[in-house]
Amino acid sequence: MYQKMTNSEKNQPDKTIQLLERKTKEVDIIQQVSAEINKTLDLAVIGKSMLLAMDEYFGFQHSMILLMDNENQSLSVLSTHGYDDKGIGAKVPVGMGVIGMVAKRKKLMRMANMGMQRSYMQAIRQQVTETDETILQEEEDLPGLPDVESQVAIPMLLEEELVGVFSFESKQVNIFDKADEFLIGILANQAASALQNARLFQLEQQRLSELNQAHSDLADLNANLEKKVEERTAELVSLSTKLAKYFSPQVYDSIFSGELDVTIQTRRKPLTVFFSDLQGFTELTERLEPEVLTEMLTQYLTEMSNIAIRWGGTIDKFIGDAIMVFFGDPVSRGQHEDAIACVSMALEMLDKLEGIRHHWRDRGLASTLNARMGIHTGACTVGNFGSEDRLDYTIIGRGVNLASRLESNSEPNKILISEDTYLLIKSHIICEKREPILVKGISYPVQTYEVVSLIDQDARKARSIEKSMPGLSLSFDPSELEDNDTAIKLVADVMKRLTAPK
Amino acid sequence: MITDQHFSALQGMFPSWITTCSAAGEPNTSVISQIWYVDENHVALSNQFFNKTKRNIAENPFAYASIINPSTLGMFNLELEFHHTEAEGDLFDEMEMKLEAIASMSGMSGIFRLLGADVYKLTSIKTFR
Repeated sequence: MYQKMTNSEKNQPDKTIQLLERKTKEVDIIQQVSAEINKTLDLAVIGKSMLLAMDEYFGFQHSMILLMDNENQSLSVLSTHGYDDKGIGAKVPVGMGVIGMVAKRKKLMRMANMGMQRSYMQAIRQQVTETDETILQEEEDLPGLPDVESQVAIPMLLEEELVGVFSFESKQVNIFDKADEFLIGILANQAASALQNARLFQLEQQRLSELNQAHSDLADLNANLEKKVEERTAELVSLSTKLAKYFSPQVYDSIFSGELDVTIQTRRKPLTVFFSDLQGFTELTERLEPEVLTEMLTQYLTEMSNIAIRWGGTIDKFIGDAIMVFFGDPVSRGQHEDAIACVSMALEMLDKLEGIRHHWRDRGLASTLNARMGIHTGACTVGNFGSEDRLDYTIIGRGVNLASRLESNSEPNKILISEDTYLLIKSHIICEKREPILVKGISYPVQTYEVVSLIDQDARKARSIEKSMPGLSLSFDPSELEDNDTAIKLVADVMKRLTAPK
Repeated sequence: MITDQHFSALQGMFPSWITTCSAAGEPNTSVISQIWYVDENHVALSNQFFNKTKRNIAENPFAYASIINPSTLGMFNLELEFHHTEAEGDLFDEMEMKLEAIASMSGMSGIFRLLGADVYKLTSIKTFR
């Protein structure tokens, strides 16, 4: 039999009004939920108001929102509406039941008569259990209505990633239709957006806190760094203090002030070179206990270096008991001044040595330390010599050899100097002429002088005459005078001419 | 053509009947849980087990189905012709998903495997009173 005119055709105006009412409700609910989302970032609050609004407008009495867990293994109930047992926090494994399948497939599902389908399944299960040896899983206890008939579940997706599921249930069969799917879909999208906002906010908060943490870490680090730098500086100071003992103070200062670079480089300069050696020291080493010897040598070298430093000498090296000092590098006060300082230093060293000898004589050791000293002024090559790894700041050249030779030709506790030095110092220091010596590498005999003492400059001024007038220039210095008789003759001649009538 | 009035009868509320006939002329009627709506000119049957319906359709593609509107208990009769089987795609996914959802709730996850969605072309649909 054929149906006559369908009800839907008869009730056309009513249906349009119904449709309009529904659309109005949909717009209202979407507006309300949007407003809610703008008010808060708390997804639980948003979810709750969504579910409540769905009940108010459409009579959906049982609903819940579930969120995906971090491990993507299950969903947790975030918000429920219309259940006796709140069930918040209850879990649904992915792939289990309607909600679990929606989560697994990321697809909407609408069921109309679940009771019937479940009893159909139950019947099969019963049969399988009785006839088959297949071991079946336990029936799952999932959150939701125990006697559910209709269900719509919709995935909440954020850029293809599942973040949760919206679920609506009813005890009535076939209650939801396509229009409901559409509305719930929109709400699910909104919930997903809200969730994203909440997540972004959370992320922002987390970043902020991380930033603060980093900031505080940095501050700590800075504080530590200052401390570390202090510690390191202290270490370096201690190290360089130790190191300083291996360098002449002048060299040390120059290196550490940056004036002198620690690279292989040399230059030629006029220097005054001093050598001293303890006469008969090897023999002394055999006579003395090592402890005494060490003490004696340490005392001697310490005193001598102190004097050298005081006069501004650069201590080149100690070779056993021998000392090598030079003047004129890295700092020079001029060739004259350097030579005078060097000879003065040598004189003071001899003085000091006298004191040291007394000290040891009092302790029962006679004829201990007797030094020979030699000084020469001449051009030398000065700088860092050696390999890339091991540099020595020193001088080399013929002048150095000559100073050494002068020292070995000197009498004990005397200072033998070359003529070159003598010419620079003679106005300040009294010397006596000695025999010339022959030095390997120097073709001519080197005239030598033995240092006697410093000239008392005041007394010298009192004795000498320096006068000049038109027609007469007189320069008289008894200490310089070598031939008294000739001088007397010369002055007498001048007198005779001056007193004779014109 | 399937319209609004037929939808509720295609939700699986009440079982449906499907009648097929072998090449030799032997008819068979089976009760099935649901005939699925595909579009206004097509429906689908779930293919889970090899059965008589399946064998008859292989020989003779014509079928006759009856579905019941659960709210009115009114019956519709459908003339069908087998068209094709889908083993993937939206229709297959929807049917498989629902089957698995119910099965998993009953602790029988993975036991029912949907082999395919057998799609039938609708030749006519009539209201039976």
